[in-house]
Amino acid sequence: MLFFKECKKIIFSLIFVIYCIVLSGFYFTQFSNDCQYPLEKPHEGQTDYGTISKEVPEIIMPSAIEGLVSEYLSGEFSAYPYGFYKCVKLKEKDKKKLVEIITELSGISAETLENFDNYEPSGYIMGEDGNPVYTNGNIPEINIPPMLTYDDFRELMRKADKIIGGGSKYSDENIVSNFSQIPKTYEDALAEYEQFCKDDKITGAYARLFCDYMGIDLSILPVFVAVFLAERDKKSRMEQLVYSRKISSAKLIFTRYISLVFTMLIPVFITALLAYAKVKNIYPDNELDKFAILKTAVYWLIPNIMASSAVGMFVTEITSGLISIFVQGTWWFASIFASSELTGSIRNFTFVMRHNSLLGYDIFQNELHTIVFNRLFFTIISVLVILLNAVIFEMKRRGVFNVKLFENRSRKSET
Amino acid sequence: MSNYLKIAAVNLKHNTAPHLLLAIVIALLTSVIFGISSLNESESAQPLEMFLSLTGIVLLTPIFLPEQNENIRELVRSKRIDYLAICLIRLVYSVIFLAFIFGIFTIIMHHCESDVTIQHFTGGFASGIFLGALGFFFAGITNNSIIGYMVSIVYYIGNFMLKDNLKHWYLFSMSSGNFDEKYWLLGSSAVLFIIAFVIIKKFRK
Amino acid sequence: MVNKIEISHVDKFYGRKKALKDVTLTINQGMFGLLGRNGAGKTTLMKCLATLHTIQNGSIKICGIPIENAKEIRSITGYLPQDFSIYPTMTVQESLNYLGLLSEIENSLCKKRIEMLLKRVNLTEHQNKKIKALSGGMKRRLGIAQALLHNPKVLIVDEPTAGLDPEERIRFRNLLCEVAEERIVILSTHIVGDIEATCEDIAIMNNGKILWQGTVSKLLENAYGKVFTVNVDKKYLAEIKKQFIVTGMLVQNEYATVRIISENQPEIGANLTEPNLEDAYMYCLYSNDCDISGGV
Repeated sequence: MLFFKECKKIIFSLIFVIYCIVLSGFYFTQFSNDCQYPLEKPHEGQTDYGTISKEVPEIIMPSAIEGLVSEYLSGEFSAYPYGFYKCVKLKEKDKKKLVEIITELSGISAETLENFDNYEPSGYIMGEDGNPVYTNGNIPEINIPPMLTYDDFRELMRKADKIIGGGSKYSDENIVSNFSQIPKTYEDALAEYEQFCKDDKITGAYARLFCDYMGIDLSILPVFVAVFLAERDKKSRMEQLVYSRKISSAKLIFTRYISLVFTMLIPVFITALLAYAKVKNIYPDNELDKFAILKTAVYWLIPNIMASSAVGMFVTEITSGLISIFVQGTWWFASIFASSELTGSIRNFTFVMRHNSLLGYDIFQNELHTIVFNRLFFTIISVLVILLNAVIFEMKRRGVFNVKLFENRSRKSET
Repeated sequence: MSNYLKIAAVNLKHNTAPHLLLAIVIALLTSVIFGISSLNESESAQPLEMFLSLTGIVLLTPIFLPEQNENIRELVRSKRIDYLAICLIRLVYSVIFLAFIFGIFTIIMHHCESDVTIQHFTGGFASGIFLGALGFFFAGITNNSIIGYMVSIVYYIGNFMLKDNLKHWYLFSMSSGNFDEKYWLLGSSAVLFIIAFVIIKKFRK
Repeated sequence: MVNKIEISHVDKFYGRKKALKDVTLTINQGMFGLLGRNGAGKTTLMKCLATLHTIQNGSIKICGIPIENAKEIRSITGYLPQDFSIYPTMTVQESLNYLGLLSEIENSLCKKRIEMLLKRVNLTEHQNKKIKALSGGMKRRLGIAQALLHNPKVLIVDEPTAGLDPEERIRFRNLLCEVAEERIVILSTHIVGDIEATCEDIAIMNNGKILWQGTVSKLLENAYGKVFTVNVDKKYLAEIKKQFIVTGMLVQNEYATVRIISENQPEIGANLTEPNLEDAYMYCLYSNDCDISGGV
């Protein structure tokens, strides 16, 4: 049967061996490395239970405004427009716009800002005894207008973020986590731990961590395998042989695609089983869900494999393997670095989903609708792309879609 | 000598131009995506070693690509000039281009009032050439550039995850203020280049 | 310098598989045909001559130069591989210029030779076309032009006519014959017709060994008296195929005229007939105990 033949061809190819090595390499250095010890149960009297970001207007407003004034006076804004640090300096025109916003937010007049010349940033400075000392810095006094509602505040901050060029501390994505970190109480921490044990049955949390790590790799690795095989078919002139065979284009392309996705899943499932064994090992006495990791891997990771293989096959079919790698590489890069948050940042079109934490069951549950849409979207898009691939393959077979397109162009350019 | 220059010119036009163009696009993107102005010493290292180093992969991995088609390779090998000499020509000018890209980028950063020194140039270049050498090596010994790209890109990704667990071969050390790794990277690149040539000469006919 | 190729006791392994076994052959000026089925070792032998493969045992001398001296060998041999291809983005002119550079031909001489060769292979008007826009025949002609660029003493062409239409094929053969007036041309093929039309000296290879070497007329002579035709009812065809080597058959209505090879006169009312080269080739394989049950 064609399916098994294709699978065999993939499994015995050099690229698949490398794929398995790389995947297991990532598994052992990442996930497996994070599973050395069980998550500790919080107990009363701990000095620190970590922080949690909660949207509390009374906390966010003053600290964010203070931050904005301080950055304005320093003349430099730190931002992560594409996930990388960027130091933004504003043009005069933009500065003026920003001053208006600051005045609206803080009641500090443009003149005061203009003439304020003993600015000091807050933060740690070297004290006289050589130890770092925290200073509150020195900025003009802030009087938040009483009429300013939280919604107005957010709207103004949104404008400020736009002036800075996006990705600043004041953007919708960042403002809460930047300016409203409140310490967790013992009760908070305990509740979260209970959730981890009961709702998540522990394995659920590890399933997310597993998929978080593997998703990074599986959003890019499959493209290499797909391209390698597609190029090899081209090189060995399989096409010419294949073109004359009876099998329908759709059947051929889909069989190839399904066998590609299927074989690449094998090492994923094996590592998922290893992951379960690892978790079982560090939580010998807890009630675990045997299939949680496998289940999560199925819905979380298959769309990633499907999409990157589809890009590999399709782009190689119409152009070249090199371009496929470039396309997928760019997409991967953009997706990875688009968000600086490692949890709770899954949107409708987030390709590489992150949830790099054992906690945060709530956050994940809140995102569930988005996640279902997201994964279905990528699955369907992948199938459509492969369908298009089959159409183009059929056209090539009939000689409609041909490289002649390019040849004509080059002939014209010569005359 | 002039013959070698001519060979270089033809190769540049027909085999290297698109890759060089892509490298330049990456350099332009780097300057947009990362800011490159007013960065302090360690911030300046970031765009150079974390992003511009990708130009190494783009420039050095495809050196064997034009003759990956066996028919073309046989034809070229049947000519008087040694096939590996042609690859060496490509390698030499690609490395020069890589140095140019890093050089110009560093100068531009300097003009944008970033705190860059000759060390930044060398450090970034070392990361770039090492990534490229990995691609070159694996593409060469497997005679498949896809594998070259895969290994070098995976290594690049691995650097974000494994960080300084990679010891002497950590690509982004300069951002955290260490420079010793760079000598290792440069040395290892040279070793990879030499081994690749030796293996191809000896074992691949 | 002597214009001949001397191959003596050459072995070549691919890993453990022996691709050439004790090959000894002398090739003189003119066209030389290397005949054999697919996988007989023709291509391997040619690649050894073009210094693309190294040999394990034995020695090869081309015009007196030992094969180990690859650089010099390459400057006196021209090679046209079985599937000729070159960087697809180059034009015909550019590719010849580049390959000239690789052969280290002096610049002005190279220009002259390119012009002359393009005319000779009828590609002058296509010289600015990109390689990827060439037809199969044009590509093959470009292949021969590039192989002749440095005016080599030896031209090695591997299966040059495969995939060409009959007209192109005849033109190509004629071109090779013209070229062979001034040098050694070694031509490998599994198409007997190519040899018949062009070569005087031939060698037949099978399974990595030289089975037979000599002139075409000698090969025909060997088969004389061994080829018969017979008219039979169609239903006996299978039986005949089992008993004899069948080199041709023409089916008309219920009857079939079959050409068969046999050491002795068969007892089925067969007529002795004049052997053609194809028969002679088959007879050669047959008389050397090669497995030819698969037919032609």
